Amino acid sequence: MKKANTYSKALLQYRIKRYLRFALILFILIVYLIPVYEMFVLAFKSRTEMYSNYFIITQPTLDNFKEAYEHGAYSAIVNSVIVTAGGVSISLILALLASYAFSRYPVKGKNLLMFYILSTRMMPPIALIIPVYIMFFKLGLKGTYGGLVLAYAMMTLPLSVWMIKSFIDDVPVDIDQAALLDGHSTTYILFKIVFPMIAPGIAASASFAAITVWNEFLFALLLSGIETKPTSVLLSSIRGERGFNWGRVAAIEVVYILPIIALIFWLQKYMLRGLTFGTVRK
Amino acid sequence: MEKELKYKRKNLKTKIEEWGEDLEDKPRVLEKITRVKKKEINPWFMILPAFLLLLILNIFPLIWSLGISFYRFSIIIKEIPRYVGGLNYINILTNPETWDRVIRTGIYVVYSISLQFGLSLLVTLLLFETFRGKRIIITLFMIPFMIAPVASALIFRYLLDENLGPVNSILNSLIGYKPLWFSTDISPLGIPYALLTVILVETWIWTPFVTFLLLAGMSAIPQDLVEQSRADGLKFRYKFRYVILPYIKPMMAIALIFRFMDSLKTFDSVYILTAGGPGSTTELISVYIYRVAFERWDFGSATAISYLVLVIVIFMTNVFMRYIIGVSSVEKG
Repeated sequence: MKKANTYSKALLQYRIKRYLRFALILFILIVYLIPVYEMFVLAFKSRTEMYSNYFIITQPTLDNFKEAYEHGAYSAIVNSVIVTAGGVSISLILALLASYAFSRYPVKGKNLLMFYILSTRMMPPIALIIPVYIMFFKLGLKGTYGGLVLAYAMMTLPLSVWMIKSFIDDVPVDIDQAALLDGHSTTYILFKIVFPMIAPGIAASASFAAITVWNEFLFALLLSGIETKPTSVLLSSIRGERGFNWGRVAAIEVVYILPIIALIFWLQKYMLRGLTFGTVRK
Repeated sequence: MEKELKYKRKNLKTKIEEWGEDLEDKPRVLEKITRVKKKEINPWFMILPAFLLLLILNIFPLIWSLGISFYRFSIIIKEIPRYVGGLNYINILTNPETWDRVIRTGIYVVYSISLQFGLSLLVTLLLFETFRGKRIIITLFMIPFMIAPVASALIFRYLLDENLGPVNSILNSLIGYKPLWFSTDISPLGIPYALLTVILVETWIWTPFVTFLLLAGMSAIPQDLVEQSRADGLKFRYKFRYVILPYIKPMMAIALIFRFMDSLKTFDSVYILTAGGPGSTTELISVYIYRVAFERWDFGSATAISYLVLVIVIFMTNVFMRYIIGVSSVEKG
């Protein structure tokens, strides 16, 4: 009888500990996400309330979005979409071909090349931007979509190559060889067999590349022009004559971060590969 | 040619059928297949487009910038670039300004990495046991890391506004003191408040990244080990030392390497939060390079500094990456 009592006591203790731990983690999470929550609150707040009732909305309004639209937020978002789509699609096509070759063929100097590609991830972009800036300035590419798209294709290529290679590595070579024995060409194997098999992986790689470009600031700041300004640059230059109009800033931010928040839930599964360049797999 | 290839393949196929399923001669056949394959497409043609892009926009600019660093060069002033030899390097190495920024970056890296690792270790340990909704919590926790640093930095400028911001008004009603978050006043941590703000915002952005990697390491702990440790009623510090730590160590190494490299590159959030100011309190090395290049328009010196940083980074990458590859291959094997 006594034994059972101590047992239930221990169980109770364990349960309480568990709930306390859960409460603590929930508390940390809520505190942690306040800034993000605040963006949404500010975006729907009226101007008079900016500095009162910090975390609640009393009269939700869409004025901030309207004002943001009038102040060039629309074209900035469109610019972001254009450079993201352009940069990601170029790097994706190049990366698909290259990663297949890297994964399947004993190319000479493969390790060196792969290592170089990985090391570009570590380079500080500020070291690269100066010569690229001069180059684009001289070639007349500064301020055009083309320049930004090329720069972003270069920037996202390493991640795409490494990540897609890690997915292709997961496909057994036997499948390729079986198809080859059946008399299919390499192009057929690539586009009809291997790529469809890793389609979710390719989509995940593309999403990570897209998020990188979407969030990028330094290259956008220096290489974009007045007409081609993406959202990050618009946000950095939004300061009005009397300081910030936080409602407008938050409205743009909400539109800017919503697609990413939507993507995160889907990307969960591939997060580890995306964060470590496919070097660590689960 | 085409016909011959087809014939060869057919030959191969019948041969394999003859030999049945488990071929002893498999290596030789596979080699033959690769040879057939090789005739079709040279893998270099598949790598070439990607390589060309990197060559034009990465390798060439880097080599070119090494050249620029030996010139007095600016695109604003219409003057012919003048060769000055190693003068740019001598200038930056003897300039106390450079060393000041290097030390500042060092302080920043040490503080922000230790804060990030401390906080994420806490969260990781709290998430040690599985419960319903854990995945959702982790996913929500990733939001600050995935959204643009520009957006995060801007919202912190609102939150930390010295007179009207919510943080200061809460602090004021709680302890009756308003820290000046964007000033040069020395904070309790021994660094100026502006630098502390930058560190805190960076920590807010990057802690989820570290946490995620540590969690991935922890998920590799065998479940029976966890249950055994619970059944034995192991004390927490032993559990941490002998059950958790061995598994999250490799991931910690990887996270540390990534964080170290990325900390040196920090630009976006600093630029938005303080733009290096007030004065040069928060001028980290990349903001300093930006200022030299695009505010003083002294491309020669800027490329010289960035080259020094680059050499350090490449060297570190080489050392670290060998370690990473070693670690991940150990994990797989």
